[in-house]
Amino acid sequence: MMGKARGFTRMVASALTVLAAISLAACEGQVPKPDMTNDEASTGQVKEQPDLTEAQEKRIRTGILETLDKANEAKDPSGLAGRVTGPALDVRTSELNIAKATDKLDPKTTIPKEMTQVVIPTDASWPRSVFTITTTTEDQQSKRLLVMTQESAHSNYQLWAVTRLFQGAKLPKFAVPRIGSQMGKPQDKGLVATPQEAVDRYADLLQSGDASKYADSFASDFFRQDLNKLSQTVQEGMERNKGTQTQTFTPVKDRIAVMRSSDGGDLVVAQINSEWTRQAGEGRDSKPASDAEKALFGDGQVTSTMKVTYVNVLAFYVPPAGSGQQIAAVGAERQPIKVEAL
Amino acid sequence: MRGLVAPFFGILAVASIVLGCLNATVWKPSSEIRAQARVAGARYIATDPKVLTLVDEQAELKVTGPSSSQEVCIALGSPKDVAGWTAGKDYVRITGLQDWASLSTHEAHDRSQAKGVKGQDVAFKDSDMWTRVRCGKGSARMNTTSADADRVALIYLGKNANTSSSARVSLHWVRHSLPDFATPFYFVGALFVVLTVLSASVFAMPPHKRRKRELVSTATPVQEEVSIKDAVTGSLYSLKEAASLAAPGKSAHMVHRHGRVDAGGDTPFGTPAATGPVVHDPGNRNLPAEQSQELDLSALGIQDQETAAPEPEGVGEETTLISQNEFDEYLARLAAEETESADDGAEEGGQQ
Repeated sequence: MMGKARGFTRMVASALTVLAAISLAACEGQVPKPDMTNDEASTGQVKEQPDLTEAQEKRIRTGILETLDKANEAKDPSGLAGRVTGPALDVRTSELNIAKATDKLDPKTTIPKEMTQVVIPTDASWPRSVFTITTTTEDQQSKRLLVMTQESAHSNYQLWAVTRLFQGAKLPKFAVPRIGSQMGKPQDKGLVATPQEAVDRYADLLQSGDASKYADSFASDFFRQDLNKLSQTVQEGMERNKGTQTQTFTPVKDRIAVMRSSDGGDLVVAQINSEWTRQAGEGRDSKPASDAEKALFGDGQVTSTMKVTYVNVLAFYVPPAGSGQQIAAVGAERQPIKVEAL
Repeated sequence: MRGLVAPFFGILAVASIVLGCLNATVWKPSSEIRAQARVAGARYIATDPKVLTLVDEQAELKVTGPSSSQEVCIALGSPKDVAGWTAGKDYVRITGLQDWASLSTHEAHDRSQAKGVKGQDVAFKDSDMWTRVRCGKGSARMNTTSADADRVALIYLGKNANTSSSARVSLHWVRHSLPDFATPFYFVGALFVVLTVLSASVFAMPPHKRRKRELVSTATPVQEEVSIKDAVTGSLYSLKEAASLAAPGKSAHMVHRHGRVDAGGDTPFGTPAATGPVVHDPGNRNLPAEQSQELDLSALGIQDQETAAPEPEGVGEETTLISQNEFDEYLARLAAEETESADDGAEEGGQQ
């Protein structure tokens, strides 16, 4: 009985201590800390997020197309600055100038408002390119492949290239926009040729035709077929008049956009400039060969030599190495931008 | 125990429950958290990832700029886009909560190279990278939802913001899941209540009282009531009788049954040896009566009883007060009676 009093006091003391400790805990609880389960380095995100949401891409594309529509209405390319850049700017400026002269916009300039596929990059650095494939146009023209690029963090997305996809061309698969795709580089390895090599070889192929040593590495496509047909027609006319014609194809440096597809190949969009020099024989005049050239030439003085500069925008699919496939052009755009009488 | 420990636990129980009530009412955590910070000399303020959803999924970010005429903007974007915009610039990071009323900030300078294309720079609020932008003259407000959980906020205080200007940033959350400090107290209080009750009742009893009671009490009168032992003995025995009733010539069974009927419950259902040999006429039998008695006996079962006579009750009732020792004793006795009755039967058969 005598130890009981001391034991009792001890019990009371310990119980009260426990209770006091519990009740003195912060009323609000502990201040939370941000949960940094992912690495906090500036670019080190464990899972890369796409750079844009689909809603953002649509907003950007709609804004750009509105600017184009306004310029189409006014037939004036001066409003394009800041929204259109790169080869698309060259092509569209020329198209609008021709439209201003002929009072008619070429149907090939139509870009549908709806899209069928969007490829959004996940890159954390700049420049960034978004590839969008539209639907077919209302008059059943083929789909367009739009390339919109953001040059730096402080600039906005601008339309960089528009190509018309060939009917029946097979495009590679890409991840859905919610996951995003990785952009490629002109020197990407692991393919049948690096993207830059593919563009250079195609230019050589266009230049030399079947005599080119790269003739086997490319599948036949509509662009080359059309170009050959045109050249043949002009050639026949030239031969009748003892004239000559030459075309030179030069890839434009740094005008190339690459997107890695999910099957290991790359989709490449690049600009190849070409110059077509036609020399009429027997002292004849070399005149513009099409309505477009005529509109661009305007009322200049014709001579026996005419040089027309074209912008060609080509889209290729470069397959992965060892796949046994050929590089295939899937879309193209060709537009004269300058006509000179030399 | 009862006088000392039980009240002690009782006091603890009351204290716990009182504290629990206090935690549920007066000391309840507040559901609105408003944390602020004053930021001086910065043009850009960026929140760190996960700061906007620190306390709750929905937050309200409010910024008041240095001057009431200068437009301030808040933009929501992904961390890499915000990092790209602030590349090469000084900015202030909001890193989290310092305490429940203030935000913690940290000055940062991004040393990465800012690549810009001349002539193509757009205004802060026109950039394509932001998912949402809110601007206002002098102050701006942005509400974020759970869909913006992976976004960070970038605040632009205007191009006139310089080292001497200061802005106030506040984040306001309404907590939907509050921490519950009352339930542990209630739980502990309930435990103490149980302890109080136990220490006042069970633990306070003298030890011998807690032991379970004996089946057989030593002073049970034999005449007034049948002891459980005897009742069980008789029941089992008559069950055995009923089971082997079909076998003829076992006059020993008749002896016992007759003995029971004659006794009428007054005498204990004792061993056959107590009654002695009885001469009977096999033809003098009342078959229907015997039949009904058999049914009574077979339906007797083993029961716990302190009643005057074993009464027919439902079959299959069990008693729980017979210990194993007593049962073994009974079985041994039963075996002894078997041999005795077999001898008696042989005797009687011989006598006829």
